[in-house]
Amino acid sequence: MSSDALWQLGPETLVALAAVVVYVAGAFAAPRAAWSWVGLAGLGAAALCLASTTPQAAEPLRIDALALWLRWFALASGALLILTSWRPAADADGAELLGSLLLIIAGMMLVAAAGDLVLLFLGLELISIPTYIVLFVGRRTSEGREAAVKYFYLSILASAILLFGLSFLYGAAGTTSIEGIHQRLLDGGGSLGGFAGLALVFIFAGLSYKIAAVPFHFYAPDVYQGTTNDGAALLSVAPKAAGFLALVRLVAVAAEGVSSDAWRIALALAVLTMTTGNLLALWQDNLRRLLAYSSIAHAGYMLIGLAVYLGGNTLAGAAFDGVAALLFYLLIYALATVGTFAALNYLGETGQPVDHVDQLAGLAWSEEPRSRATAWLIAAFMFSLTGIPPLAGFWGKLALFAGALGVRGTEPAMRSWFVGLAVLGIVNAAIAAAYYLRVVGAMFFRMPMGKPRTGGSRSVPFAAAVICALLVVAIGLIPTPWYEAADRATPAAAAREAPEMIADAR
Amino acid sequence: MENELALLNNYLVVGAMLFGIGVIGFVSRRNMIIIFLAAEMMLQGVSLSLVAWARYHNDFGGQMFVVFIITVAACEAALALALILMLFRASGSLDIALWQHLREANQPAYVDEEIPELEVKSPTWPRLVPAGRQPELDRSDTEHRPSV
Repeated sequence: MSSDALWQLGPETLVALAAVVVYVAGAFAAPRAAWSWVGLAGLGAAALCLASTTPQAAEPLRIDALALWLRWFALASGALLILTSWRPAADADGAELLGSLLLIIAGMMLVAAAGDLVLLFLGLELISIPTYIVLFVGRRTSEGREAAVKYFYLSILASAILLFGLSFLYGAAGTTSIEGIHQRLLDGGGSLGGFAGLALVFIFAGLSYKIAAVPFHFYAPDVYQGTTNDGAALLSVAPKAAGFLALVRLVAVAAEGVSSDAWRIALALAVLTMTTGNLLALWQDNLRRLLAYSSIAHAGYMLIGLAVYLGGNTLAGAAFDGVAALLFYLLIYALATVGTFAALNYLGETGQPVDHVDQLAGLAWSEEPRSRATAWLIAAFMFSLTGIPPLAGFWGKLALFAGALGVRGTEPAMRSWFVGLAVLGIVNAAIAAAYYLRVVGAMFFRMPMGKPRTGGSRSVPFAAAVICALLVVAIGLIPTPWYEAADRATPAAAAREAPEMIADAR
Repeated sequence: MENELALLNNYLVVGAMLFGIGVIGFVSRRNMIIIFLAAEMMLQGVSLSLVAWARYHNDFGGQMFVVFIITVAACEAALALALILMLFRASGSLDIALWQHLREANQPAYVDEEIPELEVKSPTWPRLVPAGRQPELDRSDTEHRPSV
């Protein structure tokens, strides 16, 4: 690794440094709020560093517009996650949890910047390993332990499957550089090109675990239910963002080796994932379990974007690019989900988190003004997740479904497959409305059960929920700049800007 | 070249077999430590095929990758042992099937087939049948025998 590459990794280094400071100093003093400030300062320094360095090519890294988008996303979502898990009182494990959170953010940024299979794998592990600690330390009950052990074992299984795929990708091309593999497979890949197909299947399987796609979703409901609201917020953002970025990077490369059937896998996974997630969510009473199935369903919607990207060859004048819609949707989903968990965190008390839909009953008629406001915030997030027009979720779904309708396809049946995909997506959005509206209905149209919740002392998670809600409304009212920012980050935009480089490469 | 390809083929087959044995062990065992070792075996299969590919392509990238895989596996082993220890203290057993309180509401717990206890009967030792004439004992010998 050249020194240029080390300078380019400055933001990641700063975040990891903040994590080390928090880990070491946290052994001597335990005021969690203070460490949260240190963490936020680390993220701020990383943001300054990220804004001031000019991206340039440095061998093991690949810092293009997509990488920059995801690094900014990681910093912003990291700041929101720190605010969500803010505790006022001294907390014995505060420093460990915060340090692990910072390392996970550094891992997301590393995945974004990786241009090499080794670095990509290390970035994904830098997300997974601190997650085990967050799950175990975050909630020291029998349920917390069970969630940690379930996540841990299935995660190492998924890592091994992903690595097996990466080994075949390496074998097909003879280099670990992703760009090098791409060139090699574009040239035909020689007699070993067929291994790329095998790699494609294993990579899809391994990364499906990270994004919680069917059939690798079984851990999600149990782990979300067993962990804290902070832990669930973390799980629904960090592995998903990194997993989708790795999918966009790797699958498009591996797909060069096999004729053009990669979109079939993505399409089948999308249909299975969103249908399974939405149908099973209908039965849930536990809020985190419900949101886990909702996160599975949203992974399915985002896979539509991936299928559109892999299908390629869109109609002339089609407005929505697959990857742009995916990134746009990821942002909107992350805001609504983190906001919901922050609001639930505000309502809960130490040792007594809000677990069930019933506990929210009558929240909108609570005596305390901030609890009433929380009901409105949660309602906004639920409407956004459903996709009701004035809020951001509508534009996200519009971009994804319109993208699927815009695929012309290289073979006759392909267009009808994608039209069917869009129709199924819309049907799914209608099914999802049932369980999101049930939560809203409980808050507004049911009598409060027992003592109403007042989470007075937790004002920072409340502020995080307000920020998320403002952004959800803002993106809903003015979606264009946000979509355009995502659109500039796509591989298609990179190809538009440097057509001669692509032509040279071919 | 033929030789190289045959060599690669052999190593890839062994790597895939290690990976497959690991998967089978992972899904069929109930002891937490054994499950972790099965996952490690999958990683060894991956490492073997990476090294074989590196040899075939005459490229060091694969070997470098293996070094990083081993390092990450060591980190995971440290965490795994800590986690297993805590779970063992909580439940007093290494059986993973004890950890199934988190599941769909109203679903019965999964009960695996009980492994029958090995029956431990009191052993019956073979006995020598008395045969022949009983030897005569020397009285003085028994009297002066030192007590053991």
